[in-house]
Amino acid sequence: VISHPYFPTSEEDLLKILQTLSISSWEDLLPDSMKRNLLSDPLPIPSLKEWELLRWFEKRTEKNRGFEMRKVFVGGGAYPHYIPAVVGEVVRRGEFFTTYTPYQPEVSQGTLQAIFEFQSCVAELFGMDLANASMYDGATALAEAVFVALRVIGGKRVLLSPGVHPMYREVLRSYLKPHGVEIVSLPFSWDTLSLDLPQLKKFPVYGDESAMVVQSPNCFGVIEDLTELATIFPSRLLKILVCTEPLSYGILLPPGEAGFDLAVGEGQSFGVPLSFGGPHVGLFAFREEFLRKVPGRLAGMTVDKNGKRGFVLTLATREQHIRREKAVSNICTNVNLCALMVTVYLSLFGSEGLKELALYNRIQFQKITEILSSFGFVRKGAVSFHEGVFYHPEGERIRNDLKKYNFLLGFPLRKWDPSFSDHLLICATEIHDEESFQELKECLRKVV
Amino acid sequence: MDFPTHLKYTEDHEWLEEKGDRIVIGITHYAVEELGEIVYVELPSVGTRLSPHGVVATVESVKAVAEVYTPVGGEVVEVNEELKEQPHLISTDPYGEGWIAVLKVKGGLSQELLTAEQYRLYVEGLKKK
Repeated sequence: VISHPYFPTSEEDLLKILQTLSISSWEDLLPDSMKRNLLSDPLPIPSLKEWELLRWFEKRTEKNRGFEMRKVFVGGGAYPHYIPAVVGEVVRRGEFFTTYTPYQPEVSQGTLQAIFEFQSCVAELFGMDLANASMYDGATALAEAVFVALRVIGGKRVLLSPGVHPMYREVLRSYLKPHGVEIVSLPFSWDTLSLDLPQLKKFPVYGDESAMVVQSPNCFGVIEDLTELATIFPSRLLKILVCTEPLSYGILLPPGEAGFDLAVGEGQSFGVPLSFGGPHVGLFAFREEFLRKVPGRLAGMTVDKNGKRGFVLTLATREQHIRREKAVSNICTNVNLCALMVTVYLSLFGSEGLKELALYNRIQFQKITEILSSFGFVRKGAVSFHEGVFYHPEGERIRNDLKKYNFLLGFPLRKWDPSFSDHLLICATEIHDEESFQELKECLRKVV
Repeated sequence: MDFPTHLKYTEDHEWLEEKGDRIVIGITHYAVEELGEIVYVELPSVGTRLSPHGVVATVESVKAVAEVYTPVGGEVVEVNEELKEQPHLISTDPYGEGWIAVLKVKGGLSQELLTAEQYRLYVEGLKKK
């Protein structure tokens, strides 16, 4: 154990931690499979000239196998999309290159204006009055939205759609655990893979519900009827929409217009690289009446003493550096660089461009559906956006065999629920060009 | 600084006016000066039951947020709706148009509350610190 200037844990602390856990070293926490692969000695790096050493590493890197994006037909919460070059170009500007939200308006007008534009884009996309400067990701944005409901409504129960992404549900459960709030599952139809509206109409409510949480398109890719859902419960609970694919709102009715109170979701699809699952960016939009109850930062537009337009952080009195233990949330920051990627991406497309892109994604899904149907895959569930569930008696075997041809066809739903063996969650986007579809067909001919 | 003598005061800088079984609550001139420009007041709903030291309202200024507490328990029977649109009334007239809420209480105010003179001395002590 090396004591380190940046890690405050002393050797004595570490010893106490080990004793508390009744283990002799941190390696005991690893599964055996991982322990076997630990290097017992330092990496045997040869003593070489710098350029030779670089080549030595390159050779080793070539052994890693990756998938070309155009051959990946997997979504499930993180989507393969094309990132226009202009996104990287703007984001890499030195003036923007910070993950943090700056406090000082006198030196940060560009960043603050970008945040303001981000908020405007997100609010417009979801048909809401306002949006914040972003959250860490879709799942934490959802948990914070439920906290808003608990602050505004009180209540003890949260009605949760089983169509919400399992990982999001898990995060929500962790956030709510210390608050003694009960999570109640809403009735779900396993035929249409969407909320069961007839059963929902009969679902008992007791007046102690804080929120109803619905994902659309849901974790099976199916589009829910938001207008219907917004009117189903007469009680005062807040209606929260969560989404993992906000691009769908290029063509779908925005949750704000459908009658929802808060709309949150993952913004990765809008110009943020997949990056092994993060950092991504959480979108958080809401009606104005909740302005003082929402988490995160807010940039506002104002005028300076000479009457010139300027941007500042505003309503910071909700935040922990001022309100201390009474702050609305512990999040006092955001993922600004990722939020900037989203801002550039959405500005580039505009509302018309986004609509076209969303439609194109829908058409791409139609194409992959036709291909898969011709190979005996059966499409499950109601109408989807660009992702859906497909069943084939040998679905998982086919998926495995396709890997040899560097194709990744779908996410095996067995990982979420054992009863879904040989069901694949498959997604198509603009990144899958005609050549990718043709090659996929040829490979399917070989393995099916 | 103005501390009317017909009012009672708390160390948290609320003033209270006793009117039969009701008390009117607001915040003092000193509190107003410390907070700076007041931009928002979160009021309770009529009918809310508060225990002693419960939060009656939240007053937000450009630089800080302060809770307004009631020293005695009771039920909120009236709130100053004007403050929703004109929160600055608290600053311009803290003991008049800037009142915050009326509570119906059981039993009178506690003897532990400060008189205007005691509160003045208390505030002067705070300023010296």
